[in-house]
Amino acid sequence: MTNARDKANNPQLNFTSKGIDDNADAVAITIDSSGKVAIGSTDNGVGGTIDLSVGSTSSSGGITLWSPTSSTHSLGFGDGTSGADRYRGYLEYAHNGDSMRFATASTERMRIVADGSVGIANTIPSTFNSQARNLVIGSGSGDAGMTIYSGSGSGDSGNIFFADGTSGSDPVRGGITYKHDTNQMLFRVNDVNKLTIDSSGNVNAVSGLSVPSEGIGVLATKDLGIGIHIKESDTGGSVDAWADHLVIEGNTDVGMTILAGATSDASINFADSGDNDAGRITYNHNFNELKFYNGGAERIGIDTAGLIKVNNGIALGGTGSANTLDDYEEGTFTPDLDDSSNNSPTSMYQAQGFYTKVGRAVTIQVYVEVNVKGSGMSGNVMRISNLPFTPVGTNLSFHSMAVSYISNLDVNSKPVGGAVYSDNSFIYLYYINGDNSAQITPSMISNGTRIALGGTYMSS
Amino acid sequence: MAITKTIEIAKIEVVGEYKAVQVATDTVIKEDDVEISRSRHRHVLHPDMDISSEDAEVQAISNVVWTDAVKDAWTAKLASETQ
Repeated sequence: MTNARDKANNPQLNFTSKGIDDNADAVAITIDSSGKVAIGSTDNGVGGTIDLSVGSTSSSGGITLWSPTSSTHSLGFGDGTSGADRYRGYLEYAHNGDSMRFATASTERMRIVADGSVGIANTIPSTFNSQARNLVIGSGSGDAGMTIYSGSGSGDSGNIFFADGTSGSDPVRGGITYKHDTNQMLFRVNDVNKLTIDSSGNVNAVSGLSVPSEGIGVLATKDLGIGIHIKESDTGGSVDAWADHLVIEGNTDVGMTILAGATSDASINFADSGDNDAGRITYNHNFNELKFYNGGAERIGIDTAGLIKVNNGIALGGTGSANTLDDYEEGTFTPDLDDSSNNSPTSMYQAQGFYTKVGRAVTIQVYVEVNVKGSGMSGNVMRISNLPFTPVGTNLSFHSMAVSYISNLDVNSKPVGGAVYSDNSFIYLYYINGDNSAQITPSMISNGTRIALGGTYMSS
Repeated sequence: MAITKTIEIAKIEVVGEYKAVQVATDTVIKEDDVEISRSRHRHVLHPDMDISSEDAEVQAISNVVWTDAVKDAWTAKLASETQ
């Protein structure tokens, strides 16, 4: 047994001074010949930690700095005996408010406050929004930031992940990744990289890109509309609230292109909750036709030759049938000069008919010439038959035809005319006999009889 | 280079109380199967006409709509007009 441990029998070993009350029954503090102090053991640290050692490798231990509740106490690192050199670095705990502070170059750099919020270059981290104040960087003046320093080799990336668990996809539920090997920025949602910005700045979205309520400005800052504003330059103009979700603006020629397959359709649809194509504008690249639809049906088309097709007519000066032009057609027909019993001459030398139909009005031009009359005609009245359309009207209404030329028609120099009755696709031929009209009969026809007439009648 | 000419029935319409059958026929000219010309010719058929030389479809429609009642009405109409 050494003297140091035999204080009971060696009273001189029980050292007492006014400032120290030594009640140890074993060596508690050792000061070696170099002045290094060891408490709780005789082991010393190395290098910069050699001057004071506390505790041992065989049991837990530590240092406690006591202070009143309103005070602050510190552990300082000084390199001079005056001014700030006395505390070039320090670790400080302020009981008033309960914060731990870390300093370098005599200046506080990091603080952990009572609620656990950490401030780097910030002394008030707990004053920020509670959803994002676990770590606050910056003092609120000048630049502030954080750098993730990664490699640039294959697969190397810098990451910020948003986790809601520790297994499966939970640790990477959301995230922001910068891939240094391909120079791509990736934004991760629900464990999938949804948005990628490539090295050229192109933005690629896995599931489409939704426009935020503030809208998106392209090429320049958005200042028109509520959606996307593509602005090459500012015209100073405004947009109507009826059509301000997409605005394309520029002081030169501006436009929009829809690129489709060479045999496919390109369309703009107008939809509502019950109809996804209530209105539609479609360009058919297969036939090079531009089509306009409403109510699910094509209404207007412009074909590859530039012809405009209007399927239901054009309303002029009103919307009723009386104001609607809904048909146009031109063509030929083969008139016949026959009698009311459908008997024709033996042969015709000429039988020409032309028509133009505009709406319901049919304008015709007719020329007939008998070659050989023959003997088969016996009806009461001669007709120009085989008109192109059926006339309409009440039973007794008729449409007048003007005869412009006759030859070899035996009417004793009387004026000649024609009338089209409703439902008859033929013209009854008459001559003016005094105050009345009389029917032209087969007996007035001969070989070489020629009649030219024209006029307009109403069709159905 | 092949020039072809075809005749197509473009429209068959039944019109009016007396069921007149309006027939539109298109003559189509094509060069190497590309249409270069189309012209229209028309005629109207009434219930008292001989339709034996008409297109089969025209005959079929006419025979359906030209009932005896229609034929009689048409005959009576013509008679009243030519007295």
